[in-house]
Amino acid sequence: MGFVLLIFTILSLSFSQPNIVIEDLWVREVPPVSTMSAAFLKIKNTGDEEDYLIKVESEIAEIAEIHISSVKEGIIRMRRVKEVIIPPGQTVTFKPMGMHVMLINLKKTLREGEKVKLKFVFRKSGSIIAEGTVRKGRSVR
Amino acid sequence: MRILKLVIISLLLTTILSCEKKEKFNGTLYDKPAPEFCLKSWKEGKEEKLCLSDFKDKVVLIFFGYTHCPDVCPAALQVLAKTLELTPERDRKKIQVLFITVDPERDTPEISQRYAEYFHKSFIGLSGSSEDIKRIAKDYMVYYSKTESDSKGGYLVDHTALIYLIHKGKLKLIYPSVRQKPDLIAEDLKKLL
Repeated sequence: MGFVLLIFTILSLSFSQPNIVIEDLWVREVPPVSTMSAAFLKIKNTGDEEDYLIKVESEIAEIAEIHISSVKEGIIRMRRVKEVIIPPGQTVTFKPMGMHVMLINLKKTLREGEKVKLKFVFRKSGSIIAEGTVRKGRSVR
Repeated sequence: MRILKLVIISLLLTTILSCEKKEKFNGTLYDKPAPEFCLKSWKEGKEEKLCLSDFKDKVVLIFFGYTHCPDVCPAALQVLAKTLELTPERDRKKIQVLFITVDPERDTPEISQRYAEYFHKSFIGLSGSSEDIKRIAKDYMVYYSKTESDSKGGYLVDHTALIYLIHKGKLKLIYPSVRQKPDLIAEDLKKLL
């Protein structure tokens, strides 16, 4: 019985896991005088267990942080978020006026059409490197 | 008596209809005198005083923001640049976009100008002393506040992200973020120009 339980546990552990897919990554082109930009993307979890985005790194900026913008009574507020839960079977969208990866102290000027790489670190899935494009951006909504 | 009633009703209807027509804008109608201000611009390598009254023959669109803002400010200035693109060329000369920083500590007139003109060569970026910015922000009901956060990017600034339209000395229309769409603003400009 114990052996069966052990097998069952091992099986469930090996089957129950998050499966993270990163899609539609883009970085906003900003004036060369600006040292900040933001990256937007979709994080899909096709697995059956939640995962957490805990860190982002990029070669194009000294620091990358997860931030969230919100509008309340016409006032835009931006705050840092330590981690983001990616529930199983769901997609978390980082979009303008919402969650975004804030790229701080850009090391180079970003030009529309350029390819950029960002490393996303998840608690369970580990590091995932995704490639995106620099875009002039979309309107607020 | 019946004729008199009919006349009164038709007069009332005409008044209501004309009011409606007058107020049909995509931006929120404010229609009160626009408070005058003077700030510092950056022109040909040096600081220059620039006042709202310098543009009394133009429609002025103002956005208050800051250059360390990675999301909302570039988006709003992009909307204004697209608005100009949607406007017939002959009318573009009659429009002036002003970007006023609410972070004068980091945004000098030069930085503000270089930031603004990146979105459209005709845009003007303005800065000034903290006191000047504070006073103008108050006049224009702009809220801004430096927030100390644990972000390594330095402080962030909470701010009102409205676009203001000034026409003939009046603060005519205000666009909250949901209405900040190039086609909506261009439509209003068409009516005013």
